[in-house]
Amino acid sequence: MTSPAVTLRGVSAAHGATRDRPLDLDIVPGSRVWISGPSGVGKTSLLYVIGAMTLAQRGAVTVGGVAVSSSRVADQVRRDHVGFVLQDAQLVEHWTVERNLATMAGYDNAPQALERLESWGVPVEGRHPRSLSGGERQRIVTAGALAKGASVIVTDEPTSSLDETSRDAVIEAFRDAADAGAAVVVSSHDSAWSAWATQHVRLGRTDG
Amino acid sequence: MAEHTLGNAWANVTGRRVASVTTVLVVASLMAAVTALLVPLRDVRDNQRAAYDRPEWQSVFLVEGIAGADQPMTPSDVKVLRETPGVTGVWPIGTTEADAAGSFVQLRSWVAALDVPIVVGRPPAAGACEAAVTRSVPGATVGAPLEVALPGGGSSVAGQVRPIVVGVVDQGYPLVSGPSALTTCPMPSTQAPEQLVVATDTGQLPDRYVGESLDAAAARSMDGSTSTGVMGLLALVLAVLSLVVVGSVARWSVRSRLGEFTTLRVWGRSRSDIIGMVGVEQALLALLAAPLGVALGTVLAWVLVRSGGESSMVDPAAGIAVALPSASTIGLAVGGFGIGLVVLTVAPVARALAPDVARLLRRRGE
Repeated sequence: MTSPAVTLRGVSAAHGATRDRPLDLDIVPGSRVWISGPSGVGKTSLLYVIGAMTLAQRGAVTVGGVAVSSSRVADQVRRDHVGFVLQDAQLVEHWTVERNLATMAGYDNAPQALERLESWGVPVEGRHPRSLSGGERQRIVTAGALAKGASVIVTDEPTSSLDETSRDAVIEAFRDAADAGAAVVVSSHDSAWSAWATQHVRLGRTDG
Repeated sequence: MAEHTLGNAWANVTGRRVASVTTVLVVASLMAAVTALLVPLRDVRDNQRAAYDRPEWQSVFLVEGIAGADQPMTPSDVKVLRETPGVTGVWPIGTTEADAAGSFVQLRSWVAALDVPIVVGRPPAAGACEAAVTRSVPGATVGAPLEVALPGGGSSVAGQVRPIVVGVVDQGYPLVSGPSALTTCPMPSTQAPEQLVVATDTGQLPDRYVGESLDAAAARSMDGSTSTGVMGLLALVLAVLSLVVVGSVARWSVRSRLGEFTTLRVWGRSRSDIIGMVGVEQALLALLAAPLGVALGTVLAWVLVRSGGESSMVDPAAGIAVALPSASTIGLAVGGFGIGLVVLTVAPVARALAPDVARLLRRRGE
């Protein structure tokens, strides 16, 4: 049996549905997980717990086989095991895209990200983030997260700024990453992800 | 990791051009102001000492008299000294207190062996009745005669000398102090020489004579000059104010960069990674500010020490060499500002970077 890439046991995040209803979840390598639910239900909070960006309020979290028990361990887990594509893709504005990619994915992996961006038609050589469109930024962050070779890729509305063609290319890339063994977790309102996902976590509001 | 920290820090310096240039200019200005106050306190005296560090002065002596004798030296004593082996020259210095335009002035014989530097005009010529004066002689003008009255007993006047003023003595020259006129005019014959200038080729003054080398006299004179404590207090106050300004700029800078730091935290960079990067970045900025700050500080110090008035050991016409900061002063100014900049910037970064990245993201408004 494959050991999970992410395990949540009785986990409550700081905000949303899981605060009152602790969650158990296993995400195995190669799975494509879609987290859905109405606005304010805590999708992003859950994503932050899965991505070790915050410690769970309650319960136990393991990412890449490492128990996320402290902020220091969380830093290590994010660096070694997790790739991120957050909504409103953030880059270091005064660095070149190449330096951003190298810091995000690691210096050895940056060429791979550049190759992918070239195949997506996003020229980045010598460019700074301020000269990029929202869609280009989102694809750069996605390329960086994929090139990192992380065992878990956590994404929040990763295609919100993309046209249909670019969106299809990004979804395909996430599929390829999962096929290569990464667990890809997507939080999105967009039901287009349902066809892509192999695992669906739907968060609902608690009554009363 | 270290090379990436340095590379990222340098990318921050070059990428945030406006902020970097502003920081460099602010730090350089403050560094210049502090340097300008440190130089008079720490370096001017040494620079003057270096300017008057003349090896030949070790073998030329100012002789006051004969050991154990109560009387001034007689002409025969001088003759004996002249004939002493090792002595290559003896020049009597006539000295008398006199009155010029109602003010006290010391009239002294011009002796070429004293190597008096003239900063305006020329040295007085032998055989003529000319004088070089210190700047504190009242009413002296180069090219004009100086009316000097030689007092006799009581209120009587023993005589008058009218040398033409042909030069001005460097105010930093350590062997003449106070209002003085060094003249080639014949001195009143009644005045016995109070001192002799004795040149030797051995570097040793014969035992029976009392005196000291020009080198030792110059050192004693320069050691006796005092620097003002007000300057030190000003330097301290300015340094503290500078650090307050630098700290405020640093806090403002950190607030504007919270997004950047949050992004790095999301990518797995620890707080200490980011603090290290910012620390290196600030150290680089301090290093970039250093040449400008030190150069500007040297010029400011030069202006400051030249405007010290008649009591200053620096002549108003002195070259910039007199205000050059020593390596330790540069180290103090650059190191102080470097450490201050790093500490004052890193501290708010450390405070701003909460361990919880999600909290940082919410603060950023994501």
